Amino acid sequence: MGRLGVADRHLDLALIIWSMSDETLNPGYGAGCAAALVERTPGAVDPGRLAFYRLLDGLLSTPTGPPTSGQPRRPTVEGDAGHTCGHAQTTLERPMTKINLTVDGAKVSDDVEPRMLLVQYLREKLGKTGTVIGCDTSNCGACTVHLNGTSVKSCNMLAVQAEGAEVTTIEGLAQNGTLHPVQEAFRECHGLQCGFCTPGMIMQSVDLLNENPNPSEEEIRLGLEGNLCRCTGYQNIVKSVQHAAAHGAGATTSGAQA
Amino acid sequence: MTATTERPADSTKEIGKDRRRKEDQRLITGRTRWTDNIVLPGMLHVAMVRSPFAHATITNIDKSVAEAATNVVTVITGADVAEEQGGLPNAWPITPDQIAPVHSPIAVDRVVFAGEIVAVIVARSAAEARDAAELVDVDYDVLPAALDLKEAAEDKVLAHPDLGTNKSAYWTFDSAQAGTGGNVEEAITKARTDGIVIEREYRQQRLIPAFMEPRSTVVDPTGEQITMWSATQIPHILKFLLAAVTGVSEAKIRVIAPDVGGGFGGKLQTTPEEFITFLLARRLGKPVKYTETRSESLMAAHHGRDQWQKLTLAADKDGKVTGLKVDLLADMGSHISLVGGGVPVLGAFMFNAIYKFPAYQFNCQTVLTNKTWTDAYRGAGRPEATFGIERLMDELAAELGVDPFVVREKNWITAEEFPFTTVAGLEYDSGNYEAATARAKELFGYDELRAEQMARRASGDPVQLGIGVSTFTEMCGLAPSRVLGSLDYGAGGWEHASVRMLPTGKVEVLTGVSGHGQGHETAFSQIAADRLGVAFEDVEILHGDTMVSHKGLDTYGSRSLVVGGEAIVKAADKVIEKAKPIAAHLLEASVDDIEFEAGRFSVRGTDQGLAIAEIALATFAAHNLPDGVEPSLDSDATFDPVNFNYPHGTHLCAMEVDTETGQVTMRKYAACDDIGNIINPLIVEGQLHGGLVQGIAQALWEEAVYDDAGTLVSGSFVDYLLPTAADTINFDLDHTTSPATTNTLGTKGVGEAGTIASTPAVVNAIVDAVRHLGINDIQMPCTPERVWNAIQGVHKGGATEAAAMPHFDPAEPGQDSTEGSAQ
Repeated sequence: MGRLGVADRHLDLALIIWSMSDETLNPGYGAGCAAALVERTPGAVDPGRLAFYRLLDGLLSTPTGPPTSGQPRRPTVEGDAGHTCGHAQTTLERPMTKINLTVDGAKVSDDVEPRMLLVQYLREKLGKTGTVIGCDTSNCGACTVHLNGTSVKSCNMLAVQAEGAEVTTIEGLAQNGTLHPVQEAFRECHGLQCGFCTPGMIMQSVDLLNENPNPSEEEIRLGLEGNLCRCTGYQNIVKSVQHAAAHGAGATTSGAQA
Repeated sequence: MTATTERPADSTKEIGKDRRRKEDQRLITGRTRWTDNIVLPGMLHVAMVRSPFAHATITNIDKSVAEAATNVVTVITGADVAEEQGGLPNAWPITPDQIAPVHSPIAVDRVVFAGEIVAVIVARSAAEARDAAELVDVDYDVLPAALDLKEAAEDKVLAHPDLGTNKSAYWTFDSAQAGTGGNVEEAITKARTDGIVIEREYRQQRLIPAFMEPRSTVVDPTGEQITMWSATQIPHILKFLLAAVTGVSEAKIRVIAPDVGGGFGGKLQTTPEEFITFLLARRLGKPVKYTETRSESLMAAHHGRDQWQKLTLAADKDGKVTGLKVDLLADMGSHISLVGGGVPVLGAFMFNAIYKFPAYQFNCQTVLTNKTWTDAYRGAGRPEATFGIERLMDELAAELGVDPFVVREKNWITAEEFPFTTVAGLEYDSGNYEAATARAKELFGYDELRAEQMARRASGDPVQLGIGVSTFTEMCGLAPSRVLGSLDYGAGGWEHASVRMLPTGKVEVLTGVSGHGQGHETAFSQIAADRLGVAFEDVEILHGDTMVSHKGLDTYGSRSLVVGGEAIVKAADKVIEKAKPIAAHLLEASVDDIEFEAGRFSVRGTDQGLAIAEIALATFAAHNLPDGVEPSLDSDATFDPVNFNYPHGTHLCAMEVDTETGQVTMRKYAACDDIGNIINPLIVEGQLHGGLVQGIAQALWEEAVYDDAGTLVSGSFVDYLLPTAADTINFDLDHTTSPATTNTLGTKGVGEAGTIASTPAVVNAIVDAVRHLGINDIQMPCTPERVWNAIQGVHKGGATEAAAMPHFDPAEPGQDSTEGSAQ
């Protein structure tokens, strides 16, 4: 199934960057990546990825804060001699990066660590605890939000990648106290039990219906494949999406369209 | 007076309505309170350092680098807190001589499973705590690990060398000794000469509950009470055991289970993480939070199942069963957890299922290994037993060459025979297996699918069709306290409720059960609304906080409705009795003339009356009450059931098996369950759907797999295969109704039914599809590889095991997908 969200394509970028050596990761690295991306995918450049690469050079040239003067800016790998678990020993002094974005219609701005995930930013900095974390491998989809109108797993991209973006969470889906038709449908069709997967499931369902207002049962099942639920056995979730489709949910959108 | 919703005088009953859930508004809008959402002033964050080894001696821990890291508050090891950390409790020692290792929250000098906590970091942020966890340097001397259950049972390698054995407890039941039936050995001996003996060994693979909300704990030591929020199924039991283990007064501990994201038995536990955060908050005087990662959850939250079942079924030549003998090995993992040893024992009463077996013996050896500890997972003991017997009944039918229903009908308890005392000593109060079966066959299109199966056999279709039957029952609604006592369980099985009549006409119902997705707020509102004659909307269900709902035994074993719901009924009835003399006084009538119906107290034979809300307000004002009557309608009740209850049902599954590739596809699943009277059909349907998928997942996908070093290799959602929407189908469900006779609502539990019933239905269907190829078992999960190997093994004339050839080895025959199809 192709459409599991933009964020899947950014898989582990953060880890890749942290694992690179200082020599590789110099200002200009991002521009190089961006150029390579354009060359590799002419005419179909992923705008989120491109924006992230461009942002990267800004991060890399960010001066380090006072306590670390004379220290390398990035984590120093001191080798793992004596470590039985194989973890590199690191001392970390992380620069903060300022980001500006719109979340659930409100303009927000914060200094964040570049490694902070979008879901952590939403929960910890903004208190948007309606969006939850269910796994650490981007399998469960509980953290699904919309980024510029398209679903992404917010555990699978960095907060800094959302620079300039419009993010919609489950908390921003209802408008003026009126539930989104998909929210209504989940209640009507008993599409949730414990409710933990529900924010992600609803956000993915909204996205699915935006793309395909009249999906077949199979299209719904495939379209929700990236979101795990342990309670419902999915039958009533599928029914909820069908119900929402029948009640015009596909005509609605949330957040700004990319 | 604030508005209460007018309940129409001629209202239909709330019970039985498919009310939409009260819980949903907050859950669909993100206005939730999961434990991990809680943030408190000065709160510190905890990260764990966990052992990468299954069994090793800790020779040194250097925590100096971690301690020196910025924003790290403290780092503790097991040795640092050895005197004060206590041991995690086992509430169900199944035998007086059960062997159970000390279960320290933090390992002190030896680790006994990969994932055990060896050091704990406290830092100002969760990220800094995790960073510092990487800086702790632990030296281990690796020890041989006891990993294979059968080998562990032979004490080849000891999981705990100091104990001298891996054998924890041997629990046995024999119908001849108990006086509930005959001698099973005699039955088997006789069947060997002039009957049928079916001998099988089945594997119940290890599963992981995998609730969607990772476990999280916040402990706030500020203020007089120490408050713990925890993603738990059992706040009351946790409070009691925190007090019992730590010596802190029970009255100084408050446990809150806020919104809890699923449990399935996996949060029926008191965990190392809970005891560690409790200890740290007390030490530091600051709130602390720990939230596990999914990888930690899969590795270190308790697992379920994991048994070898050696089964011997004796029958006469006509298929009438004469005896059943069960020999179990049950893997407890590294420790005997809260009710770990009791899980297989719950199965002891269920192997005889819906049948009238004259002789029965159950023997269970619980075994310690160096794997994650096991405990309850949805069904807990009963799915394992149901799988064993329902597989055997299909094998017996195959041996006789008859339809699986023929042997079941020959052996099951008939509708006229209830109440029926089984060979395991339980009294089944009600049921009707004939009716449920007839309806299930109708829903399924049994005869048509059998005809299609025959046609595909005849034509040699490479995709064969199999039909699996599971006529299950279970014991649930845990449980009569006396019975639990007789089984050496450490607590009772009652449940508590309070009904508080507020002056505004609203009703607060406090329940001691603690929901985490079941819809208690909705179903219990329906019960209270009917009983008190108030509007559904005016009832508020309060639960999951030991300072609000002060007394209870929590949620597991399909007990919330049948035990907790009945307690609400009893408390509501007391409210009505307390209101009667006040109503009589206000209406200037004799108490004997007061009638209560549909929320109204009226004087018999007149049109005079008062609504219950009016009595509540008058009682609150207390200006005009009869002499000697206390100004309160509020009432408590504690209900202890006299029996378990026994849902049952007939489940039918059609599986298509591609004999060329081993691919299995579910074609149809239909079931008719008898769960007594239904409070809310919508919720019941949801419980069944979810339960079915968990049981089907055991048959087809899920398994906790360890490598030969004792590392969990299915330790993420990449590797542990939870089914997705794309893997599952819609089910066809219906109900027959035989009300339970041991609660006034006539209800039976439904939370575990689907899981218990579905696993054998699926495996029976797969085996049925390929039985003509000479196959009589495929080990779960029935992956395409296993199915394919089974088919290949038969074709080569060898044992199934011998067919485990390397993937896609061109030198091997049968690799071409066009080869090896059914002949």
